Amino acid sequence: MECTGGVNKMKTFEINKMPLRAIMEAFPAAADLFEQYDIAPVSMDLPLEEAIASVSAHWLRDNGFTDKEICREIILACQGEDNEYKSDLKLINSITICRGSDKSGVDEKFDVTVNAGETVCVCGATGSGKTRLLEDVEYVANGDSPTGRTVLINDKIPDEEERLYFETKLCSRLSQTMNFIMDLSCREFIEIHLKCRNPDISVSETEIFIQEIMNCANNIAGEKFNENTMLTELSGGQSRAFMVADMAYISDAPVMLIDEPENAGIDGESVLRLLASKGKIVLVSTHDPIIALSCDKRIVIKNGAVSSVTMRSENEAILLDNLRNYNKQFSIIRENIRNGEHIDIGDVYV
Amino acid sequence: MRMITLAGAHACGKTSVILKTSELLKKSGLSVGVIKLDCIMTHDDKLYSKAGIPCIKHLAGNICPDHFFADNTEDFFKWGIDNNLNVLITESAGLCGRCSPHIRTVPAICVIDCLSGITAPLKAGPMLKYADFIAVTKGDLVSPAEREVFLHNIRIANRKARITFINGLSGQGAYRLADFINSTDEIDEIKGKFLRFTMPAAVCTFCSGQMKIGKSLGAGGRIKWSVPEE
Repeated sequence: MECTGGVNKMKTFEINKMPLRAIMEAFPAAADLFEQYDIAPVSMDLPLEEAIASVSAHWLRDNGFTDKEICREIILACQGEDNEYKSDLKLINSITICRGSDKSGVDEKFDVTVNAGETVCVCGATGSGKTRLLEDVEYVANGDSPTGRTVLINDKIPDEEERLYFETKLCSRLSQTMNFIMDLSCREFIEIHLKCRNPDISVSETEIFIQEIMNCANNIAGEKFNENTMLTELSGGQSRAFMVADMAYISDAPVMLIDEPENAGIDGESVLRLLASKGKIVLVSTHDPIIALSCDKRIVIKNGAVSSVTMRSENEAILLDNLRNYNKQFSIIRENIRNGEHIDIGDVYV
Repeated sequence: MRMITLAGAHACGKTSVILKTSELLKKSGLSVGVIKLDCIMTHDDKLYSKAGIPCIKHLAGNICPDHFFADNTEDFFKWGIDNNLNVLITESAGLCGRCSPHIRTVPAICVIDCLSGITAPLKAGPMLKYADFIAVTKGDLVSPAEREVFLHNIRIANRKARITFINGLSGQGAYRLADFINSTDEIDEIKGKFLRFTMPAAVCTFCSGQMKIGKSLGAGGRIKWSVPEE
């Protein structure tokens, strides 16, 4: 983890001398800014300040800008790309949730470490504090959340600058209340998401992502859909499946937080397997015994604190196979009912 | 006394964010008061008094609420001082998206919700662009990828502000805002300060009550619209 700021940063006066057209070509972020704000046409061959000075006073007033400000924003956009704090998310191998206190203020007894490629389930009664634990991870708590927990990244307390960076980059979270609100097709959505991560991505690379994500989403979802399906037309299960596929293939967040996947209309076990296979650190809160037992490690929360941390036992692994069989029976019956068939008692071996 | 201007569109969760944050500020021993500005009606003052937070509600009625705000800021400030507040928060809706109540050297917060559409950060105008802290609400209702695109668009609109997701129901993230407010300086005097950006021109017959529509009736700062050429 190192800060790359200021090394290759172009000086303000150097950018000021460049013709606007050259700035747009050299800095995609500046071109993006221009396009997003729909800045009134100006002469592209003039140097920055002169070009912006030719924007009409009406346009500036109507859009809540001054010409100096546009120049400053463009320069910030040009410099911002290597000025921002960056850290290599691929280097994150573990997170550790260090003890805080429970709802009554009594000290918590356990620290929990989760490594890359490992799935850990968080169990406990409704309202016991499962979500609070996920929130502590998401916000990289440093003794300042209600639980007083501290989160270590690679066994180290991140400094303030790292925390600010991690707060929006460390975790990707999936909950059962999530929905798509964008009026786009799956294909357009993937294109936008890729472009916002890397403005220079090539068409062929984008195509590969689209194929992979669509295949993956269709494997997790019940009913099939394709790249031209509108996001807003997706069913609950389909949209969660698409979100997971997007998280697995595009998101570079090393930590995945999943809230009760059993209610999301998707195959929870394959989701966990997929994310773990991508080397993610996976924390899943669940009430479902199959999902709980399919995880390597189990955290139980009581009264807001971690009350036990256990590994799955060998007996539980055997039990898991039985449960999967029951589950298969259950699916067959569900499928038959969906198809308008009656269930014959002989079909079910309970 | 610290003063904070907080702005955001209707129903984006301003009041919830203030309630959750005030709870934390009060726990740390600070007294918090709110000036609630709205146009037609609001019952949020009841929510504040239920939470034990002194609140004054002001309905701007016929007058543009942000003009109303700028006109009366000194009195708001005095109310805060008279009530021995440690933190005074002014809450207003940036109605047309062209206004902003933010004042130079007074910390400014913008609340924006993920459901308002992916390009909302660019439409929010000066109230977001000139904010020091941006609280993003309802992040738990949209996909992680949309949240990322939303964040990206906020960054385009404001490269300097501190951005935090706050859940208005659970209060997740509110302690970040409380920290921010705690880190701001006290303000001795509001008189003579400047807004961070101009208000839109509002000098026409419609502003003063004309209701019949049509070009011959609007006088003042009128700008002619014509069909754009392809």
